[in-house]
Amino acid sequence: MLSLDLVNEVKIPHFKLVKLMPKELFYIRLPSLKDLPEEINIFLQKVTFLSSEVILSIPAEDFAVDEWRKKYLSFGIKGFAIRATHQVEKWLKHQGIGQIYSGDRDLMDMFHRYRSMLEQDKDLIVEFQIGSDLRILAPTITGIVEMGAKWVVLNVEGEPTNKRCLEFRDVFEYLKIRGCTKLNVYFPFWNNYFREWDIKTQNTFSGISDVHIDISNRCTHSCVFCGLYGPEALADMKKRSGGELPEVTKNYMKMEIDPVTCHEIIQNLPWSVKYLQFGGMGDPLMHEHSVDFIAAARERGFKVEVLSNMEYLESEDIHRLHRLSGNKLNDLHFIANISAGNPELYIETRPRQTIKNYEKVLQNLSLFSKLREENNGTGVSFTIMCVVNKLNCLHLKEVSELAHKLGAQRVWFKPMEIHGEIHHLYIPKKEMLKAMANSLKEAIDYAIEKDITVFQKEYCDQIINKYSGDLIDVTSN
Amino acid sequence: MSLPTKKDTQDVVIKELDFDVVNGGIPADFYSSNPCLVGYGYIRFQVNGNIVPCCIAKHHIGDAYKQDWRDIWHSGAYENFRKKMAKIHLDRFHLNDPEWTFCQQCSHFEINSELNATLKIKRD
Repeated sequence: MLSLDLVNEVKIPHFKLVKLMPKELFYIRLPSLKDLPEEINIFLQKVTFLSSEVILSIPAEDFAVDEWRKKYLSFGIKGFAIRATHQVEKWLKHQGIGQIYSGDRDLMDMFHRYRSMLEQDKDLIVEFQIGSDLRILAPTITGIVEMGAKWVVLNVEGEPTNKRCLEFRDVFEYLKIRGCTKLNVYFPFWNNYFREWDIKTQNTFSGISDVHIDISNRCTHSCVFCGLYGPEALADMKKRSGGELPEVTKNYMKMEIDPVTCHEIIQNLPWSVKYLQFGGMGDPLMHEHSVDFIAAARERGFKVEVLSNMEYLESEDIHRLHRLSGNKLNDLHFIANISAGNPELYIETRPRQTIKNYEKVLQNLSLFSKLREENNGTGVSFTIMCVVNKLNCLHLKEVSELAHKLGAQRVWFKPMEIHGEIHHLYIPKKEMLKAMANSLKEAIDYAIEKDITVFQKEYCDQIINKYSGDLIDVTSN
Repeated sequence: MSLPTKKDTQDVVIKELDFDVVNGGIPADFYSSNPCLVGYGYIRFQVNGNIVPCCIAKHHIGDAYKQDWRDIWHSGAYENFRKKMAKIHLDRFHLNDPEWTFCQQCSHFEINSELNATLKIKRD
């Protein structure tokens, strides 16, 4: 999401427009459509070429001028936000204090009239200029929602004080009661306070920042630390159900998200989303449409993170994903769970895999790095993730070395999570903890030396401090 | 036959390794002094359509295949979750209620830290 506020000064800042994604919102506030400088018109034509989601915020009266409206629609903008001040005093006086639930009829009528001047696929948004009196705001918003509004902007003056925020909570409560669930309500994202407004007003009509979508439970790997596909975990499940995997588990392993639903979810997420993570109990890239889902999320401008074993990508997928990075670094990020720094350990931790699988993973990651190098250092970035277990815990430096060799931006040493009883087989034993702490320290020092970020470094430091001392202290706990 | 619960496996683990190391690095008393606001800023969709309000929540709230997820997001059940979690630091149910002890291994500690920091900005 990008925004540009030109209301006070019509001057184009230095934007790297090439970074705008094809369906990324670009909200541009203009003082008026009248006599806009030619350089602004050229700028608007350029941005509409890059994104189909350009919204021009203009004074409401400008919208009514046929010539101006049609001119800017012909540029290919998505629609207009009309700035309107609703007349609280007038309507309270007119309707009587007991009738405040009727809302501001002038504003609703204006929305209705203006909406009919636009084609169906174009948006008309009301940008409310909010004064101190919110009494008829909620019924007014409800009125325009009933007429087809999908989102509104609340241009609030001043800072998000507790008193003001409490008043807005009442507005949102009203909208919930009236069932406006498809509505998005945004605070002014062109100034610094909008996240604070969202959080303090408990705005659930946008405000989602992090989304996680599980897309596949399928996986061909057999990581020993996996609670679903690990050999011991599978054997344990079979034993518990008399020799065969239970039907419910077999079905669970085949589950994938319905592509239509997944696309609908992505398209309907509010613009406030910052991160979208794709995962699953298996590997998300096993889903036939995984790259399409990533594309849909990136086209909307969301930062995307994918947790994967990185084996299932082909060269053309990697080139497509590189393009989807939008010439940025870290906007499309893979967390590559390799959990080993050499092929022998890789195969030991994934008994079903062979050296060919290992090489394929390395080849895929190297191609991402190669494309980045050819593109001024921008493109798909990745983290080498290592689930620390008793097999690899003394060889962690090799993981950092591999990360450096492959061109990773980050390493992540993650101690095993405990999902099933069987997992305790792979937790580092007490007598290994001191050596593990030393190995972890070496790995982290190496990563830092090579300018690779260590994810959750503070947590790693805690582990190092705890276990690098005398073993007796550990066992006596 | 039912699978072991997380609590069962934790007992095994604690014997093997200090609990501090398997709890994701979250300070033990974080939710004793901070509300959980994850219900306002995060949502997770599972492959079977279930919507869960946080990664490790035991119960799902609604099915995205049967209902528009935005209706679920604004449902009473979701609101109840938000309200309950916003009082976790007051009620401290995560310390002794088996239904909520998983919060001690919270994986949204970082999101919550950020949301809490914003919430605490004084403007009055």
